[in-house]
Amino acid sequence: MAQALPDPAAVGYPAFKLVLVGDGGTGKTTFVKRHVTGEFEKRYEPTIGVEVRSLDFHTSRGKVRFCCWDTAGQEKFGGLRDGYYIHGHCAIIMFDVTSRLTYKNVPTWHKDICRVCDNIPIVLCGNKVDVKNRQVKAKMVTFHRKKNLQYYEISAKSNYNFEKPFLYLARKLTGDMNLRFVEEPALLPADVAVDLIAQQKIETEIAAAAAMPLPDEDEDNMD
Amino acid sequence: MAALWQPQEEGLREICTLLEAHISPNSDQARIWQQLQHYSQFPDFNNYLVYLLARGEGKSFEVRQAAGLLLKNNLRATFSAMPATSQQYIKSELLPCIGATNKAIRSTVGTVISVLFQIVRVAGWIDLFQALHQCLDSNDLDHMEGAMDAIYKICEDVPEELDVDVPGLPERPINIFMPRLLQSTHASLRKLSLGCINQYIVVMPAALYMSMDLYLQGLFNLAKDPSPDVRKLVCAAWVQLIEVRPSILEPHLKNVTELMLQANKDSDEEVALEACEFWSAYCDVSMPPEGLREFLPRLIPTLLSNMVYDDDDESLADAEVDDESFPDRDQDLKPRFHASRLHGSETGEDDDDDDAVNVWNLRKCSAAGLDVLSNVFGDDILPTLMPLIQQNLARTDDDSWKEREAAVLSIGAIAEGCITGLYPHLPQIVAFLIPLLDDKFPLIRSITCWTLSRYSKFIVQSIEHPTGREQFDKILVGLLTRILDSNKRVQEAACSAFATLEEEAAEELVPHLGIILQHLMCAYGKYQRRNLRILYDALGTLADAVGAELNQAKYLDIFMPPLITKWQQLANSDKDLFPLLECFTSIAQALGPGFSQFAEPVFQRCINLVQSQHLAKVDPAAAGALYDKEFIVCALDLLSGLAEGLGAGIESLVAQSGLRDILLQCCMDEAADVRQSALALLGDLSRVCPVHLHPRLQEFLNVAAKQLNPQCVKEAVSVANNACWAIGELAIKIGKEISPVVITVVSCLVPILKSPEGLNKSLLENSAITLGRLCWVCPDIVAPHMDHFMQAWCNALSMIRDDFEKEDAFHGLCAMVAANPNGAVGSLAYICQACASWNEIKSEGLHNEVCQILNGYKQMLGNGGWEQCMSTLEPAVVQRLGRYGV
Repeated sequence: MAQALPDPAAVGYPAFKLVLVGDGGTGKTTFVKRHVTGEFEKRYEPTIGVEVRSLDFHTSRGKVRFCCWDTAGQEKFGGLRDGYYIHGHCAIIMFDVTSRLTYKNVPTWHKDICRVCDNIPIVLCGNKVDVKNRQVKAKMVTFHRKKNLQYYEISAKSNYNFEKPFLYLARKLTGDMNLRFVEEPALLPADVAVDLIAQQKIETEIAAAAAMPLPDEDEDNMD
Repeated sequence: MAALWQPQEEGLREICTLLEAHISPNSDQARIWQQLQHYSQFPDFNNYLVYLLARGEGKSFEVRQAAGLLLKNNLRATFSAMPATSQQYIKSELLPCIGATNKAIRSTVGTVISVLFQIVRVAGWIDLFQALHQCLDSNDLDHMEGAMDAIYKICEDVPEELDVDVPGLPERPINIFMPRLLQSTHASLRKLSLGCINQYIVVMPAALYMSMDLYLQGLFNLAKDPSPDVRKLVCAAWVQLIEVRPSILEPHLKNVTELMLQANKDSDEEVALEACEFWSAYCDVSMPPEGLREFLPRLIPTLLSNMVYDDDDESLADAEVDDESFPDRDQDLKPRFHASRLHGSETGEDDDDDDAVNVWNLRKCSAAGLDVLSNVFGDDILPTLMPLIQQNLARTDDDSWKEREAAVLSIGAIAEGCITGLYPHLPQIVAFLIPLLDDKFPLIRSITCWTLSRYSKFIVQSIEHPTGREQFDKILVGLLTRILDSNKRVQEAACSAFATLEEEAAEELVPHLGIILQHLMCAYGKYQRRNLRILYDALGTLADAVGAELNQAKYLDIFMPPLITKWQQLANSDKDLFPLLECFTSIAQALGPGFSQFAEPVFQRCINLVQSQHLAKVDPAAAGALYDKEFIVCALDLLSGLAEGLGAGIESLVAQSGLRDILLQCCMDEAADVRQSALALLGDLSRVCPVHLHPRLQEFLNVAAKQLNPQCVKEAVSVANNACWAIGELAIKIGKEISPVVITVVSCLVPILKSPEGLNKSLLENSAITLGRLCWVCPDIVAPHMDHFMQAWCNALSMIRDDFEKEDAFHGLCAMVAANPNGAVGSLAYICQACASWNEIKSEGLHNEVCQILNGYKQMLGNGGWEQCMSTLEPAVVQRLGRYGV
């Protein structure tokens, strides 16, 4: 088993530092929040610096904790940036299949991780496969082949493949490829029964918050 | 001078505290971020950071590393704006640390150096190269490794920047480094050296080109390096060389191939995987693949044995035995999409969104390699491969199940490349495979389904032989049995394989419809959500394949009641409706008038779905649902299916409904896929009951015409395609009433026909047909403009296959010529070409019209002019024109 965090005593079971990186707006925060609070975050609030969340999983070898360092994707809110990767045990690089630029930037995120963390297991995640007109088709995703990463398509909105990246990392970190998750984590159902009035209010707020545009949508003309 | 700068103890302490908090998981990151912003205002903040990194003795390595990384990020943003004294101080503090004893510090220094180098380049930091040289020459491992690490990072970031002439340096930096890189003696340095040089394969500076022999020799020498990382880089280098510089490798190809073959068997899986990429790369480059031939007898067994599931394979860990009763979770369901209806030839853009395409490991790479080899060498690989496959299939014991599985996978992998050689043996192969459908191991059962599906076309072809029919029947029953497997993965593979077989077998399925439907509906009762979707697809494909044959009470009794029950259970806001709506679309089209007994509630439900979504869009609370346009698109497409199936029989339903107004609204929707389906439905309704569109005809025409302006075509080509087709359909039904939009539409179609490059085929064909229909209906309006489009139009018409739409278009062509024979004479060669493109004009009237036109021109031009025109045409074209008596 990989050397877990120095203070497992705090929780009494193995804990691993997971670094979550990728361009702004690719859905990193939404993804980890799925587990913790079960909330699908419709509103986009850029992460400042980093937010650390602990995600517990029940495995066939007992409980495992991922301390997820959900780092800022947007340059201007980056804080320490790769400073947060120090002592990372594993990483997830997230891109958005509806935005080519976010995939184009994956090699940079990968390089930055490799320069701070020597040889850690890394998963590449293509998020937002719930959106109809994706720009990065499954066949165009080849980066993981060159760098020996695991790749999963996910949807933080529908929960599709939520567990897969964590399961892969848990297997790699424990060295037990037969490890399983024995209990489903507390995820909220994919299509939340939303209070429609509250929903409308949020939609209005989103429209109002258009002053904070998502980055990287239009800048990319490459085919 | 910079050396005079000294940190304040207090400042140092504060920054340390801040950084410590920053990398601790329990801090208030937002507050720390604020503080950091505050500190970064101080002009010498970066001096503190470099001081901590370089001299922070007594501080934790984490904090020093964090200081270094923060420094690096700051430099990237602000170095150029920093005071010269600070710039100098930072540079001078970094250099002595290149060989720091702590690896994390050393590596961080390398990272900072590379970023700073990107800003100042060689000329801006000559000292750096002296320092790197000293380190490389030092014979101290830390120093050498630190220097190499920094050089490696520079090579990774900006390789071309080392290949420049700089005043003050006798040589380009790369010229000096390259020989050193090529002769690293220390084990830990080889990986870095190799990593550096590999960055230059694409750039190929003179320094590497001149030392190529040395480099290649180095690669050969390192083939057996004890470090797997080094061996992996060696393989990566060979793969990259053959991809981008095959000519360099040519003289050494035999030796390299031999080495790759060995590496492909490496005990380290990553090395083997890297080596395995070589075979596809080899076959992809423009080099004769003959060089590989002599290696096939050894390469093929290697690939086959690498196709055996690795113990670590995720598929193994996830394969449950009897999991059919475990409900699928949200996270198991890939979001699915409905493709809006498109009228015209398929664009062939098959979006294979199967997750399997993204799994990459030695097994997958080897199977892909075998696939490529089978396409390049065809049947020639069979003498090596087949005995191995037979040998593996003969191992029926439990312990050999993975070998058995790999053998079945390999039969599937070569299905395309080796079919000529395999075809005569297909009966034996199928005979081998059929029992494996019942194998004890689920992964063998599922792969056997897949492999059989790869041979669907040939299995169906063989039906003409008695043994072939017998085997087809066995496969059919075998797959149906597996559709009811207790393992979900097998169910999925069987259902998908069956859908593939259905497409090929079409009417051959008819005698088996009863048993097929019984199995599918049994599965319908027990499947979990994920496989249920595939089952709907299999059922829809069945309807498409057998068409009206499905329209028999004994069959309807099997499948309609369960579908109707489900249809009634699902709420209007339930997304599980989508596949059911799609399935009903196929069924309605297949049953034709036979669907009328079910039509009324289906029609009404579609109208309700669209209406409630329109409400949800403006007032979700009142609609009790959130807006989701997918419901509208699916409902519109099902209405199209009803129109196509029921024909004029849909009229009474349309008459009583508000469909016309709803449709017009949908034709103007802001979502392209809604407009696309709405315009398809407009075309379908034009065909069967145009009278019900009549009250708002001009509005429909205007909306459709709008979709054809160049901007719209660019933004939503499929919408334009359907709009174009719908206008043509309307034109032939309403005649002269189309007049007001004719000029607008023609002026949009002409540019499409004139610059067909890059446009999709379907739009081009529909444009040519619609233009023809407009010419036919309103020749007097269009004829004055025919100079603008005659030649491009004829070219497009030549590309269309015989059918009734093409007949319509030729009626238009004849009408143009009749309206202005002199105007068309300049395009005669193109007209002849278009006429020759028919295999046979089925309509006698049209055939005669074409004869008349061509003969008319022959007379008009006289023998000399006619012969001259013929001489510009291909002989085959002239010969085909003979059918028209010219």
